[in-house]
Amino acid sequence: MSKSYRYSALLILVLCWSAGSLSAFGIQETKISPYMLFSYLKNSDSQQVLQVKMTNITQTGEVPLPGLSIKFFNGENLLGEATTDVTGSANYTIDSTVELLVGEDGTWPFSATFDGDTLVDATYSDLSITDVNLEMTLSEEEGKRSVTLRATMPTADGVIPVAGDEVGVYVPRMFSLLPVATGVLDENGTIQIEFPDDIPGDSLGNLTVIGRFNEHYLYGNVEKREVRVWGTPVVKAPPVYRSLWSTLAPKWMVVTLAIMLMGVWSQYMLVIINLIRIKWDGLKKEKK
Amino acid sequence: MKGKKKENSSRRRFLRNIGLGLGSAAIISTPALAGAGDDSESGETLKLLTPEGKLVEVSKSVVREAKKKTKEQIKISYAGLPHRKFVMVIDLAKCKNARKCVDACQEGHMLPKDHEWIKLYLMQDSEQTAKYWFPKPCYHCDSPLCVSVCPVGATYKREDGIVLVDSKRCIGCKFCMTACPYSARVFHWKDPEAHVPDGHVYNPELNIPPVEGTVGKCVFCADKLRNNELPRCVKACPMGVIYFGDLTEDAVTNGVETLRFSSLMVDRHGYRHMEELGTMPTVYYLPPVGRTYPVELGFEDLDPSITDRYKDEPVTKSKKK
Amino acid sequence: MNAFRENLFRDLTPEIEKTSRSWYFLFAGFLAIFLLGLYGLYHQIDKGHIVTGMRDNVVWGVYIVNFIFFMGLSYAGALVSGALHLFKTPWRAPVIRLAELITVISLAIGPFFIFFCIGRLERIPYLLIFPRIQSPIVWDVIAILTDIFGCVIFLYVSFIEDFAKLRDREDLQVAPWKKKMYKILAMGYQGTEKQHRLLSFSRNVMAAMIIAIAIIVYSVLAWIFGVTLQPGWHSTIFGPYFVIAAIFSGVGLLIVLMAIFRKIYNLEKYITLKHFVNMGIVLFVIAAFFGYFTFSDYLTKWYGSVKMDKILIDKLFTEFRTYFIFANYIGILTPIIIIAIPRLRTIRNITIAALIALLALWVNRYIIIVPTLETPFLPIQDIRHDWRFYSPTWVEWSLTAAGVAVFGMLFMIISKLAPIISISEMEEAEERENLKLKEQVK
Repeated sequence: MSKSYRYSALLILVLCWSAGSLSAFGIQETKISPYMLFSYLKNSDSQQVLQVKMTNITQTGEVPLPGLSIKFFNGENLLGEATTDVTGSANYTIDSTVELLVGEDGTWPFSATFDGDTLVDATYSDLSITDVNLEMTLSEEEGKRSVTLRATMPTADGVIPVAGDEVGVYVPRMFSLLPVATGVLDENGTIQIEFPDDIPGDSLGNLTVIGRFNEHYLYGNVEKREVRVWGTPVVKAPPVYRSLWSTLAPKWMVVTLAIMLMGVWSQYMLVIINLIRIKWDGLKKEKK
Repeated sequence: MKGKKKENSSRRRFLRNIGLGLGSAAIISTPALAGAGDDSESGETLKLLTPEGKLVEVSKSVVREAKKKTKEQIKISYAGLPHRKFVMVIDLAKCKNARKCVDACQEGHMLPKDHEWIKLYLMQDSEQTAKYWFPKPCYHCDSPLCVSVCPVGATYKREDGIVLVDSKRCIGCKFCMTACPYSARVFHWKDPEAHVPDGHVYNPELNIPPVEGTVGKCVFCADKLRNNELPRCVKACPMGVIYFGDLTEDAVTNGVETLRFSSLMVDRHGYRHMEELGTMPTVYYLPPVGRTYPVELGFEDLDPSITDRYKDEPVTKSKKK
Repeated sequence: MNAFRENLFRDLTPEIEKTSRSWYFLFAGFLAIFLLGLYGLYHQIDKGHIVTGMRDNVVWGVYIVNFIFFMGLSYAGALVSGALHLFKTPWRAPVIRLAELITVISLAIGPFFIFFCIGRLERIPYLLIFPRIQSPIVWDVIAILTDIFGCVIFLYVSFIEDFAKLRDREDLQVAPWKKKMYKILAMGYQGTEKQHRLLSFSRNVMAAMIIAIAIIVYSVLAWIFGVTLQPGWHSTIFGPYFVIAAIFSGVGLLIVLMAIFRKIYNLEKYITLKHFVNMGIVLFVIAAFFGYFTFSDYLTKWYGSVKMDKILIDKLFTEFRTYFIFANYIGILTPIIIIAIPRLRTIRNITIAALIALLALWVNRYIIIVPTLETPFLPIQDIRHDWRFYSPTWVEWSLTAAGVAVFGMLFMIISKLAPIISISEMEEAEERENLKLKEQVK
């Protein structure tokens, strides 16, 4: 096994060298056409974050593309650059002091570009975002928990409510956000959503409640987060120490085995002692 | 210095290359390198690709160190993720035998083509009932007979419910394979010929490289879970058949939609396969009610070597002439 | 008395003193088979287990069948010799040594078949380094190690008197190293009263232990199958069923060996029809028990057939029909019929019946292991024929043959080192006879 291991390492080295030299001569160039997922997030601290995820879509799924330098633009203005990490994501947080350019339709035109390198093709993606503010108030009355969300939009004519759009209450889970409830904002731009009392939190019952426009076609992702003791505390099941499948065997099994083995081996010892006594007796007789 | 840089970059390019389509070769397991970056400023560095295609930069000394870390890794893999209890839900109504889960799994774990950690069966419970496609990974049972019978502790159940196989410990007695009532385990009958580069640290959570004469099986992509990522089969499924999540959080997701596990079980009448055996699987099924695709679609665009499997199935079995 | 002893020595020691040419020929034949097996093993280690007929569903094949078979012979040898000794069976003298030898020699071969079956041979020590008490395989490892110790001690204890006799015999025409060996192995046994008392006590203790261990160990082996959920294996009857099956095959082998050694070493005077008939009656009783167990096991499975049991039984009655008929009808009924009808009780008939029983038991193990593995709970959906249906390859057969060859070789070697019939037992039996005669005269 270790032999083939070593051979394969050698093979890789050789391949590595040849691949390197081949691409240096420009003979072999299989360029990747990347897929760029571009999204906008206004987070709980009202920071505006531009997010890009670069992947290569292959037969067997998505492969993240790390180490690519992404440029972020607001209209024609370069906002900044970020490099994709191991998950293929690059985030750029817009400096709050920057005056963002507003397009003709009153939205922010954002774009992200990748200029391409020797292996990955250039790509481009854009977004138009309308700025909204989301407010979340959590209240608890007579044991009834509710989340009130209010969305407003700053316009030239002042702040107006956002009406008729879908908004949701979420809780973060290990892999994704779990939608607890969603609803449509009324004409005042508000909605009250009842929060269930059977959602597991952490061991103390802490739960992060998120009010969010989720992937909205105009607003992108806009969210507010707050931690409350609104979850059911998760009590960890005691670890199993002795069972058929655990490391340690059930006690009865150990005891039974020990008794049986002791019983048998003590008899063996007895016989061996007897044999030694036979030997001694023989020696005694020989001496005589 | 310049020359070195060039070599480095060509190497890097190569590594990325192979990870992105030309077959994966230079692969390291991510958790193996967790906490390995402390002294990466020490000059010489190496860029390596993780099985997912992540490029990570590590110093050569770290790589050397990594080998010694195998033991540590195995130890870590024993512990599992704290406060988690993983659960999978498979929606039989959506499965159409696209087999992307199988491909993604095989690629991710460098398995030979005939090794399927997730198998697709064409099932029919009795002659008059409907046929349906039935993806079957390892069930990671809560009362795992395979673990009970292992003589050397090569397979073990962790706190988070995942059952792993340590192929550095496995003696290949195959007792677990006869003990498992779900045929979830496969044996490496010959050298799997997986090319793993130097510096790769063996970790049962990823189980690369496969070892001849040992037993392998679905590991719920425990390596991915450490990074809060979904298992490969879940991500690969174009139909969103497979949901995965943490039971303690009462949520499962197929990557597109996230649902409460408990309400999913109630609404769709979830069940476990062969509950009567008492192995308590952690994989649940949603019955194939209101199919989104006809069963016959599962035969389309597939190699005869696949479709022929289902020729005289199911109900009638083992019809040897 | 002395004349009897002289005769005994004259009849039993020539095989130790000189070796015939045919012995060498036979030995060379066995050796060739053994070497072929070694080549098969090399091939298997070189190419991997893919060269066997085993695949993902039938993960255990002929190797495990052989393992159970040889272990069964061993336990049967232990049970028979232990019981013969403990119950002071009057006719035991010429056959007890053979039974003891079967025990030790089969025990030396059986575990090797497990080694052949294991994917990574070099990790065998892990069984002792990282044992898990919950695993029936660990029970088996502990049990077999205990059993090996016990059987070796038992065999040795029963040999001491003979070694002493061989040592004391001046005119024995053997190589000096053999004489030296007898001297060492006899452990200074002089036949004093104290020594005799200690020795017979030890023999009784070991005989009792051996019986107990044989039953436990073979049940443990059965539980390897019984504890799984597989149809056909998951059965409470498996422990006792295996024990009975083991005795059945062991008695069969004992009769066959009696016939062989009687012929080759000219022991017609000592091993007589009486012994064959007596062993035949044991075979008869065990066959009846074994048939009863088999019937009871399959009847319950067939009558209230659970889906998987039905599939399994259908398979047994179609694909494996010939095997089933041979193992469970011919193998059981032949010994019963031959022994039951006094007219048929000839040495040749009894030997044939025993041989059939022995072979039937091997086939019985085969149809316990293979059909069950071919019918897993989830249907085997595979286009590869060998993945669905097991058929052993030449590698497996060569190693099986090698196992049999080693069995033969070890028996041949031991027959050159010590008499195949216990001299001391024979003398004791003679003494008893004489005492009886004297009492009758009085």
